[in-house]
Amino acid sequence: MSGAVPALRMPPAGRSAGGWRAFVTRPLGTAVIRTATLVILLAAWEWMSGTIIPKFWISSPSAIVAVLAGWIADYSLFGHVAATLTEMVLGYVVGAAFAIACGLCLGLLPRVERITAPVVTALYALPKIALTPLFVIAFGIGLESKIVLVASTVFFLILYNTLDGVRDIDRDLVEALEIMGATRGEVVRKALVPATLPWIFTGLRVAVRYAFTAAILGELMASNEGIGYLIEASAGDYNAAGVYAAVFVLVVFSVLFTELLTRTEASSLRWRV
Amino acid sequence: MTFSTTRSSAGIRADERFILLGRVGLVLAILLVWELGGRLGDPTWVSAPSLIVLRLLRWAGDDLFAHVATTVAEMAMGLTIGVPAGVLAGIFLGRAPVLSALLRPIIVGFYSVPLVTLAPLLILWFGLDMEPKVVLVSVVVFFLIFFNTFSGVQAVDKDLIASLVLMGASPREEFQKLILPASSAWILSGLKIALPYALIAATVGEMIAARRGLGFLVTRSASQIDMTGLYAALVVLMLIGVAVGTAANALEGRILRWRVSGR
Amino acid sequence: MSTATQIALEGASKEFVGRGETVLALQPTSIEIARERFVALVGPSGCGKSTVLNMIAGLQQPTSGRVVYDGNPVTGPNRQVGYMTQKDTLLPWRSVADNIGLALELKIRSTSRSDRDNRVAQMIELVGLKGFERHYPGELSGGMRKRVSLARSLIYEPETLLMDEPFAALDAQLRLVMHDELLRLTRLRRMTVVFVTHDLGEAITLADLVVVFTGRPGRIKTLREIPLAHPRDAFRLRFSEDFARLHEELWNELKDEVAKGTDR
Repeated sequence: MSGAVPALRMPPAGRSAGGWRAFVTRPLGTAVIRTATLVILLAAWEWMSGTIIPKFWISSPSAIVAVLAGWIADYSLFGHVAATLTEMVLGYVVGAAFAIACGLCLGLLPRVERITAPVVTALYALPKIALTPLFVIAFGIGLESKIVLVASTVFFLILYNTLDGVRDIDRDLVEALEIMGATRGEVVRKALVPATLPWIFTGLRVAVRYAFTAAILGELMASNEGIGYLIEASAGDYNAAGVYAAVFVLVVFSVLFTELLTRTEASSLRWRV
Repeated sequence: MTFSTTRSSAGIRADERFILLGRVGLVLAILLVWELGGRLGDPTWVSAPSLIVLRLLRWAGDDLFAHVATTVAEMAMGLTIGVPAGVLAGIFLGRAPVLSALLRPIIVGFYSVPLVTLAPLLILWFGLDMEPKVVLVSVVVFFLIFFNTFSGVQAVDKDLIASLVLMGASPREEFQKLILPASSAWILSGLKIALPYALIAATVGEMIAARRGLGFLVTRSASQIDMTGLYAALVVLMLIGVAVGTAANALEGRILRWRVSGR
Repeated sequence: MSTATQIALEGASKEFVGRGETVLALQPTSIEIARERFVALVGPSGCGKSTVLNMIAGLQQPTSGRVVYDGNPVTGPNRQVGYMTQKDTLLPWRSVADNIGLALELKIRSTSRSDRDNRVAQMIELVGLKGFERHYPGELSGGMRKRVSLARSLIYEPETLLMDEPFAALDAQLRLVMHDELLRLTRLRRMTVVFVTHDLGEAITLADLVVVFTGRPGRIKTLREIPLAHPRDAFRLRFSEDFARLHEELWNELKDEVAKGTDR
């Protein structure tokens, strides 16, 4: 009989062991360690820049902050952020609307769905960002081309989710309604749409990230505004501080979106069994 | 047509034929409309399937395969680096709760950021050749695989672990016989997602700055306002994408093998 | 404590620390379980019966007091026991045969391949799953999975078998079959068994000693010897007068505790 392996099955809420392990896992302890690590890393970065590693590669926290401050001071940052967000939102709305409409239609017409499937799959397989030059040629370098890019990216995602939702419908439910004498329209309204909604919502939530990515990528390729433009323009000028500053803005918004989505996840799914 | 139908096998066969005809018909119709549009309208902008095919043939005799090979190589190398690294990191952190709790914000931070958008950063560091694309693909793949592996390891039922320990399993046996097979479904799942992303990452890298590759072909044609070239490049990219997608689906089939009847 | 004692709880209690509050699940409990005895623990939900099993298995440590197995205090996972839980812990990617033989694959036992295959085949025969060796748990019914779990727990012939409401999810007929099997196998192998159940009839059918627990926080209320002769006929036992008397007597003990539990 052993004593070497510690007990694995945890009681409902474990009594924490004493010592540093307890400190580290408690909220305060974790926060302290994380902050301390961050400060140390930033200090090290500042020191290394220019001394060990050339500024060209890694810039320095102070330079980055300076750039950011400059952007905020001349209001340019807000303009760029607004541009990216506009592209995101408009593209998202357009793409989602089309996707849900097509998804529901195709879901209701299985034969049509199957006939168009290969074409849809082929289009889906193409990395949408490759279409950016096409859109730029067609719509110019402004926001429009990115909006179309975002829309096309979001479209496929939500389309597939909607289709999955329609396919997922419980046959028993439908049959029960049919036996009751429901017309086709009533079956759609009372069974199909409510059943599909969770899937559509999931798709809508996942698509937010993709919309953001698409907007940024589009701006990286060809644009004159936006967070992605800031990254690309700084890179083009070999302005490392600018690149990092823009990336920082990117990270801030990414985390913001992720947090938003995580927090709304619980409440939106609450009614789902 | 009602939702619930039972059809005879003869009916099903007829249906299948109809679908097949429909599909072929649709594709032909699209090509036809495009061809007519090209001939009647302005071929410089609209181009036409015939022109695209000719261009592809010309490229095939030239350096098309070199470009394809570059993109595929970037993907392959990135996967070779990213997948094992992701699996190892996922398993290691999955089994080290204290460490993973500490690293959590960094991990979440990285996860939130669309890594492909950091391509310019990599190009700044590594230049125009293959290296930055490989690095980009590796990093993107790494995080995807890492997260899936990590979740898989964490998701292993604690009761299963307990039962194995009681039976007398050593930590190594516990890992081999339980943790690894249990998380393999997750790992394969991650791999399935990672494949298309590898292509996207490689393409993005090439479109931003490259001298070779399919993404480069797209941007080169675009900068010359060579629409036929642009469409041709997109077609090749689409074909590669379909190949990648098929491979990913094959993986899914493997995952489902014992899950289908599973609880 | 005599050498005939397999398991002993000496004032073992268990507290759980929840969000800021401490819950006493098991009051300090003492009991001695002799070798080769079949002991049934009955009581209302949440009275700590499962906790007792976990402590004997070494998966949980008592907050106070101690648990002694075979003369040694239990401080970690107890490899001398087989533990069959309510929830089956079969590995879904392994076939029935591979699941059953799992314990024999482990280095701690060094069983040869042929020996293992033989014993697995024996076990499969024993629990009546012949023909299903290559099936996967996902393809089996609940009752069949239980039988695989049972086979898996028995194959390495542990001295003691811990069972936590193993048959709760089975239908009545199947349960009788399992009772019969269990009695036969455990007597054959001369195993000590600690069996947790809600079902008083099941407890009386199977056990030599029934322990009645109070509601939470649990402690032992009654110990009752079951003098019914072995071998017992699980199918017919419930119709005997002795059985009825015992059932009545123990039910009186138990029902107060159950009522208290449901009032909460």
